Amino acid sequence: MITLMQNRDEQRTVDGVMRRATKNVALFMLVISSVGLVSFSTYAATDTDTTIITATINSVISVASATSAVALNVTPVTGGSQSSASDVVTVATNNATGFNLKLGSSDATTTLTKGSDTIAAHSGTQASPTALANNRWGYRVDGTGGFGAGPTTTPLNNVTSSAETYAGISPSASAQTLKTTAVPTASNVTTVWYSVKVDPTITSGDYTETVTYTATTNP
Amino acid sequence: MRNTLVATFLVVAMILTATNQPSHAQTAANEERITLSPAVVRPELKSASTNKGKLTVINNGSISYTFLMYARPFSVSGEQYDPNFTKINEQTEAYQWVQFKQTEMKLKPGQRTEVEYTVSVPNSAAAGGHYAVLFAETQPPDETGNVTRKKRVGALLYMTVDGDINRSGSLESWSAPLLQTQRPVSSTLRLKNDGNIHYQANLKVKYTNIFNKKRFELNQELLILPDSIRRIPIEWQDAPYAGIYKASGQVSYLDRTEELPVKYVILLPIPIIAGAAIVIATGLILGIRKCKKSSKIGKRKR
Repeated sequence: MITLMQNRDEQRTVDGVMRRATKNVALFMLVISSVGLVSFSTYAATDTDTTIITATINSVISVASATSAVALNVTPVTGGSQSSASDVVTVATNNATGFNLKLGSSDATTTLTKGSDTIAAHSGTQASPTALANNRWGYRVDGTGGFGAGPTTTPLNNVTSSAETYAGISPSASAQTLKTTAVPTASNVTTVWYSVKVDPTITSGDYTETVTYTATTNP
Repeated sequence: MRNTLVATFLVVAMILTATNQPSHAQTAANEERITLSPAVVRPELKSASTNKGKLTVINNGSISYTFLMYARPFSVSGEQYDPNFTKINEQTEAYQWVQFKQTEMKLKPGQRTEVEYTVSVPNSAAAGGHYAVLFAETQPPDETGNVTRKKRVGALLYMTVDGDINRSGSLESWSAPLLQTQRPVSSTLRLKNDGNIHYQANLKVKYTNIFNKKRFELNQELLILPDSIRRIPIEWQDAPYAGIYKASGQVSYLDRTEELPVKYVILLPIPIIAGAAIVIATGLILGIRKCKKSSKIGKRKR
């Protein structure tokens, strides 16, 4: 009995010691962590470092247009029949000075050609465009040069007369500026209208010409 | 009956959705796009040296194409700085110094390629600026249209060959018409380069109202090429319909900064001028009539 009581007392004593020890350890840990926190804070506050992050953004320029054909289907009549079709050119650049977009023939030739047969470029110019003459082809861009604001929205389909004014395409050496901007642009759209007017003196068939859109940044 | 209606509605909706999707995809699938980077290169070169460079060409359109790489002269025409890719002179013949490792390549949609080139500067090259443009040009696909289109993008090559470099330029003029009848409100700066090398100008122009409250500001960095005057229009596109404004600012170039003195601008559209003229004319006529009437009454009284 006495032994049992002694064991219980010892047990209590051991529990008490354990509790105290646990408390002390907890207290110790608390102190250590506080000190640690203080130390780390002090460390962070006194020993800062700087990293310079540099991102080099390269300059880019792009030009795009639809791949679908610019088809000028016309059924000629005496006095002339005129049709038109459009092409949408999109330019993008992150260059601070913007871009310049030019249009010209891809070479020195400016005629629509089918073998030895040709349809000449219209005599109107971008600065002074005029109504398309018979057996001629040309282009117009609303808001550019002397074309006026337009807007040109509907393709002509075998009309005998039109108030729309056109310019003849220039040879590559004297390509015409369609647009110039002074700021970067994510997507700048230019709609180019092509048109042809012919009478029955033009022999039937597919007449073609290649033009070049040129986009560069401004100095 | 109700179930049949719902089922019909769902089928119609599915058909419409299915019809719309290809149509949208078709639009995206029809674009040919060529991207070039960098768009501007400014190497500093020594005479009788060979220098390497590279350009990245990206096909971020939706069809494959073949493209060509080639160099051409680059200069500007007139004060508007219209680019010219054909005129050859002492400063633009440098396009002949450029050789591409490959001149014809193919790219599929989403692909990009690096194109290496070398610039071989001859011993006889004059010191100063030399200019060229490096073109990437798509070759048209086989199509049945009447007007076939090539697209080309150019990287401008501003080369500086070491030696006797003469950096010289001046502010030629700063002007703004006092009376302007339509937007944009505009002023013009002209910078001259009479040295043998291009220089950069940093421009800062603002338009304020008469109470000095800033309404529009333009910050621009531009290059002025040798033997040229560049006319720089400063246009406030979204200006109010009418008003009185002050244009001022500063331009920094060649290690100097010049203040642009205040210029007053009165923006008065023609309809307002015409309206004011009518009001004044009417007032004058009425005034004259009144005077005549008063003088007649005076005569009668006498």
